[in-house]
Amino acid sequence: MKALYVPLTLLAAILAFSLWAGRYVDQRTEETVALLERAGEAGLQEDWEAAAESLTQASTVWEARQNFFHTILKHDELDEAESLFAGAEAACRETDQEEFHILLAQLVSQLEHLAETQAVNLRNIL
Amino acid sequence: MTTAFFRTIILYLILMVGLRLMGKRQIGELEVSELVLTLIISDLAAVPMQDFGIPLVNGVFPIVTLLCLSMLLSFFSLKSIRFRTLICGKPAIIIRDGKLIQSNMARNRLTVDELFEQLRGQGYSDLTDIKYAILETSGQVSVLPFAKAAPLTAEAAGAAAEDTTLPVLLINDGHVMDQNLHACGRDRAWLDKELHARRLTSPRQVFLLTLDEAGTVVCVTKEGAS
Repeated sequence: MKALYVPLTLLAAILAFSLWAGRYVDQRTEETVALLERAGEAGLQEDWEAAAESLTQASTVWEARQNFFHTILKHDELDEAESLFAGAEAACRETDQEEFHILLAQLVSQLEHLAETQAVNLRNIL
Repeated sequence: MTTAFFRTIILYLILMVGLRLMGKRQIGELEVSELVLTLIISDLAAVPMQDFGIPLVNGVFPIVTLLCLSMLLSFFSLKSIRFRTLICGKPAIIIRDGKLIQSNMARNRLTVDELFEQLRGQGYSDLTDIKYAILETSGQVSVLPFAKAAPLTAEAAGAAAEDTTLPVLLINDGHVMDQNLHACGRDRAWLDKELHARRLTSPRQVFLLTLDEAGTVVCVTKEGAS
């Protein structure tokens, strides 16, 4: 029966890890997106200090998991998110309302796309 | 990653079914499941190896998943004859009593040229010499000739014949295989004596030296060694 249990256990472990990793990416994305939305609202009210603070928090949350994210997500998509973070931070410093909101929207979209790639649904599988 | 997991399973099953439908002649010496495994694993391993932007687990997880699936298929194939037939197929009789069974050839996509190529490879050129030719699940054709066309055996000829014994390699390209030497119940002193009898002074002069169960020593010296 070892010939049955070993592969079944391995398959179950891979599936469990994959599901957990997908959920983990989704939760971190939600957390980061919530902070980015807060930064966007502050930007709309021209409160650039609060916007910068929320953006830094979002960046910190995201950057703290980079090692793990790089082991499960495509690197070019993570690099794209990092680049958008840097652009949004620069626009916030420059208090460029229009550029800030464009980059923020792109960043949220990119993070949600990353979480979406890990979601278990028929659209992804097929 | 879960997507990769399910995609791997789906692609594996699709390839399995596809290759089964293609018939045995496409397989060669591998079973369908082994061929599918070989096809996919080689590609899966190559992608993360070449593209550093793809996480290693994206290659490792599908490979482990495939190996597990393969182990499960093997397990169920051992346990169930019906499952084994489903996965590996079953042998098909292509020639019976010297006559081609064309329906079985068509079912297995085996052309006359391919059949004759296999028959010639086994030393048969005349269909009427063949009692049965069976297309095995590995894609090979096994031939059972009529008695009149079967190779003459010592038993059939009533001749006494001694069984061959397995020769054991004692010197391999100048290197003494001590483990084999001891397994044969011999030692270095015996080996030196054998070399001396052939006017050799060192095992390094020997390319190949074997000993069989009957005690026959075969010695091939290296080119240029005296």
